[in-house]
Amino acid sequence: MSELKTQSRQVVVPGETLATGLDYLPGNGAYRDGEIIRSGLLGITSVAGQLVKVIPLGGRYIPMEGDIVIGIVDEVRFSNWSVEINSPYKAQLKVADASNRFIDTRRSDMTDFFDLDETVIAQVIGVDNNMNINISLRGPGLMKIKDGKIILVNPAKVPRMIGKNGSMVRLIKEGTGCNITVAQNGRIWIKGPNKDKENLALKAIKLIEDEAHTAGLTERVREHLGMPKEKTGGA
Amino acid sequence: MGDKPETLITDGVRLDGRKPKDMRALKIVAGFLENADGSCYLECGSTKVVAAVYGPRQVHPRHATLFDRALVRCKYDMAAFSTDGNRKRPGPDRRSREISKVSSEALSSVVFTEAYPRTAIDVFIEIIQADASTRVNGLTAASVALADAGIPMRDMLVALSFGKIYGTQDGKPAEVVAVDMDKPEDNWGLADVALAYMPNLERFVLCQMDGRLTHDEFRDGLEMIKKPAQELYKLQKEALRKKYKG
Repeated sequence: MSELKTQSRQVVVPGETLATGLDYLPGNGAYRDGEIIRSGLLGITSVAGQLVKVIPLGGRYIPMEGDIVIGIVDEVRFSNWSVEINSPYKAQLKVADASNRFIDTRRSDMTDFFDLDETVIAQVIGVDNNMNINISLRGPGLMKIKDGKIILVNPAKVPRMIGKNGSMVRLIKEGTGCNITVAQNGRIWIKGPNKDKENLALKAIKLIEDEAHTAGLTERVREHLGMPKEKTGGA
Repeated sequence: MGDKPETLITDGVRLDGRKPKDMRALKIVAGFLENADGSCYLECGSTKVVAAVYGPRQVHPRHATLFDRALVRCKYDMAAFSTDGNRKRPGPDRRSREISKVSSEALSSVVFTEAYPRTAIDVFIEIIQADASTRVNGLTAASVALADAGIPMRDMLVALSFGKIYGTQDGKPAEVVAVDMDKPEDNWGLADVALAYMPNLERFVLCQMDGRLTHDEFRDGLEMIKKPAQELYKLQKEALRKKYKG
């Protein structure tokens, strides 16, 4: 008989039994061992219907198609750039994906577009079985970054940083007037009207990182930003 | 090494006052180091171990890369000051290379290596103070460090030792199977076994033996470690949970 052995939002360690029986399905971070669904990670459980998954509390960033990443160019080659994306795997940016314009590799210097150590906001457009990563700069919001601040947070905490439908990052944007891009690989770009605002946003982000696994976080972030308490029950 | 004691166990009480089934006092702390992706500090009596995990990361040297899975590399090392200050010279030696090898293999079978092709997961086990059973305590700590680093694993790894020690029972000479060898028992005991065990999947990933045991004694030992293994596992879980509950 199928039985759930855990509830949502529990901290579990690898190997722990989450559910027994064939009626439940293992999601990300969980795996099936015969009749038993076990945790494959140190993380927090999440049960949605029959799906039991474990949300990681740590770990490196592993690229997935569609992710927005902030990368640093670490090699310039004849027709592509190698970009470091805070992951065990390096990404490749091909000229065709680098710009909406045509880049003639024979006539132009590759470093005119992206030089060593330059930073880009890019999107992962392909991940193959060998973990060759292709990224693109063709799309809205994708560009080379020239100013502002970049901070590094634990990639596992990025979803909390963004919040439901981007609520958390919107809160910080409103509270500080900064332009913020949260990339899936744990790098966050902050560009504000002045240093003080940027620092305020930075501290709010550190707060979220430290307390990502706790409840009532939004309220504390509001408080930190000096914003009035949210009215409950309003539209 | 000191002089050989006349007895290691007298009427069911060992030199340090333990019963045959008792572990030494245990302490596990997860997330002990700042720089590592995952880390653990473990004390088992006066054996003290730090384990640190880095990765998954790019493999260096590149030719060591495995193209379909991650390479789990474990480096076991005893600090120069870990014993009496004379016996252990710093740096790698025959013994620590062997332990590094068997530990790497034990940990490889716990980690879902297929999840990270072309990467390396580096595990460092440093023995700060040695009082026997260091390889097993190192593995127990390493598995906590791996979990702390967010690496996908089949199960935790609980490692411990048992062995056979000599002594007296009611005035007559006796040989007794006991759990968790300490230094005199390891040095002078009749046999000792190092085991690493997945507590949920109930599978062994390491088994090494020095000395001789009969089939029955070996079976007794396997039976005896079950309870202390659960205890260790509970401590591992608590250590990992504590890190996130503040």
